[in-house]
Amino acid sequence: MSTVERQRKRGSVTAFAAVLALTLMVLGIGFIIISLYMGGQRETKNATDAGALSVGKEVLHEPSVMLSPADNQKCFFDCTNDSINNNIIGDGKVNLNRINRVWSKALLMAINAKAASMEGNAGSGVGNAGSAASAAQDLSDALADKLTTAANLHGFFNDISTKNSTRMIGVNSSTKVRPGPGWQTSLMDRDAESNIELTGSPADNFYLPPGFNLPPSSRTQCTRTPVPGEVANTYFLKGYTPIDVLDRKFWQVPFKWNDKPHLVSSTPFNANKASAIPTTWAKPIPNAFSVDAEAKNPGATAETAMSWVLSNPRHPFKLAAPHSFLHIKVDEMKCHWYFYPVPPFKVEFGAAQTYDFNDSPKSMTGTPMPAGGVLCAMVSPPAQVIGLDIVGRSLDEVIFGPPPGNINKVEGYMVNRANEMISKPGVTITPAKLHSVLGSALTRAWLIAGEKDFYLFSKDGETLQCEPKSIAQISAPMWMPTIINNTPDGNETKIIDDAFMPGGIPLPHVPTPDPFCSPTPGVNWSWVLWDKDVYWKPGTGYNGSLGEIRVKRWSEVHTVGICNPF
Amino acid sequence: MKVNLIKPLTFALAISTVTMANTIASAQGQEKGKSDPATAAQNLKVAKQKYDSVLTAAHVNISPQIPRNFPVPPYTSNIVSTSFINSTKGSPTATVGISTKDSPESVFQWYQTQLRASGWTLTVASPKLTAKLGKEGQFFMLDGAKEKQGIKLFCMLDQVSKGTKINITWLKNR
Repeated sequence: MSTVERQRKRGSVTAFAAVLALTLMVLGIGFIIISLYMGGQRETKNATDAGALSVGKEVLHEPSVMLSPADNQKCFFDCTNDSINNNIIGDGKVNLNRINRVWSKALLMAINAKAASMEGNAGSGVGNAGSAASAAQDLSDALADKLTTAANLHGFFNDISTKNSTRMIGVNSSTKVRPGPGWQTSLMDRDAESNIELTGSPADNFYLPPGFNLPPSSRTQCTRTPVPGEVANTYFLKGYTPIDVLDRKFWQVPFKWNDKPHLVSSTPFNANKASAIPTTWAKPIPNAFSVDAEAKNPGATAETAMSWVLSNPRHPFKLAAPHSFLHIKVDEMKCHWYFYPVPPFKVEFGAAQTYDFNDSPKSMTGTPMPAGGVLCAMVSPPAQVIGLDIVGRSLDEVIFGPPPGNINKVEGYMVNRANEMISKPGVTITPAKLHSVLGSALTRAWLIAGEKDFYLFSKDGETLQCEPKSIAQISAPMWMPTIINNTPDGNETKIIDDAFMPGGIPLPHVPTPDPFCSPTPGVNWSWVLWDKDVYWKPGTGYNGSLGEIRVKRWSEVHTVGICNPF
Repeated sequence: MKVNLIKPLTFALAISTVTMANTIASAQGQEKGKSDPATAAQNLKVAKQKYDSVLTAAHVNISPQIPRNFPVPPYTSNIVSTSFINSTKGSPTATVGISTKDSPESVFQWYQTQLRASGWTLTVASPKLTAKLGKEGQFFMLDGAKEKQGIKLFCMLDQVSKGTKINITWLKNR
């Protein structure tokens, strides 16, 4: 090959190499540009997702609505903290994390009022429950307005999204809120559980007031799949489903049990928007939020991205009225003396005598009654031992002890109200637990010490206390003193009406006969009866009082004097 | 609900006075009736009927004897008197009263032994409680449970005879 030919060949290779290099360079640059573009888009999306998750978490705390000092809002003060400890005092703010507590306490008041009205003793309870429901509605509406105002959420987004790198777009670029129609809300997980748990199960009527039945459509079990073992037997209020009580609707926001706030796709989000499936809740509280963002270099085209997040506080509460109490009042005990001048009608004669826990049992004698028996000039009751019905008894025995009467009804009311005081999910006050608290040795000591007023409450939201006034105020110093003097808003009814039983030793006696008469043998006896009334005055919890149990115990000495003519 | 006629005393007194006047008139007018066994028996019968009407209205039954089927064994030593009263309406309840010359402590000890042997589960009031009541050594009490029955037993010092008054209240379906 000549030199010329060799040089010609080398020249064409050089040209080819140059063209190839240029091509590769163009391809490389193109690849870099595409990589930068796609990387920038991915970075923008990542930053948007991070910002959306931040919105999903932070929106649980802010925006919030502050309670007003009005009575019907003040009653929700015990719902404005995130603790199940009743002694932790709230900050007065209602947010997405707490709105279900507010709605559920309003529901509980309505349930108590409804149950009382079914028995005709609601008093002002229905009005109070209605007022509380209106306040819950107002708070909910105000919170809904704030949650659906996107500007209130922008800060939560930017706080996180701007910390995410978008260097592929530019060194100075960051992902920020793109205000506009991309910021939407949705009502997802409709009919799923809220974070308000019910006590017990349908078998025990959820320990709700006797006679009241929660509509089955208002409750659900956990809707997660599979159902976590911890809540396999737990019932919750149902979200975005109206709960009708007292002709009012009560609402809950669904938050699946222990489900983390997470991103969702646009399809279910859009399908569950209020505009897509209208709800009868005029201003529903949303639980899902969409965010819209952009990332750009100054003077360059922006990258945009959207994300959708489903929020969840992962904080269950119980259907409860945390700052509440049940008042138990023991009336002064008296001994009444009865005679039978005209059998079988009895006549009370002489002043009733008092007896108490600290001086029983004691021997008592009644005033002799002139003509207190058939053909008797005078009937003198023999001395009787009085006070055996209460001596050394605990509060439980005083309420439920003999004479028995319809103690199941009393127990039903008390167990129901005790459970309404408990805030900790999963804790149930069974009848046995209630009797254990009321039957403690301390209540014996307090009764002997002369205490007649007791308060059943929960200081920690988990255990039940029964203490006299002075001690109760010390046990729950931040809230009990302000409500302890409040009285129930219902009317008092008698639920055990003169239960009685033989309580003392029948003693023979000899009446003084009328002239020409003598005591009839074998019929002149004096005996003691123990008697008991129990009254129930229901409270809705509007002012903290869930009701009052009043126990009236007394003894009756019946003396029969019968003489017959010679 | 029991018929509770508070303060019809005047009415009762009037009735009693009229009854007494009639009886006196009857006694004066019929001197023979006073010693006539048939009339006396009739008067006794009427008096007992009145007594029965009181017990029926009060829904109780009274007897000086303790029935044999009473579920708690009766104390039998140095007995002064016994009595029994039971309800005839509502929850079945009954009360036994026994007076004995023995000391409260020994009677109470006897009952604890007997009841435990009969299968009763006992809750005995602590001496601390009776001390708090200011009746240490004078007053003893226990609660017993067996199947669906309950009893409350009290042993008290009889201040007059220095013996013991025993009061046992029994309830069913506790």
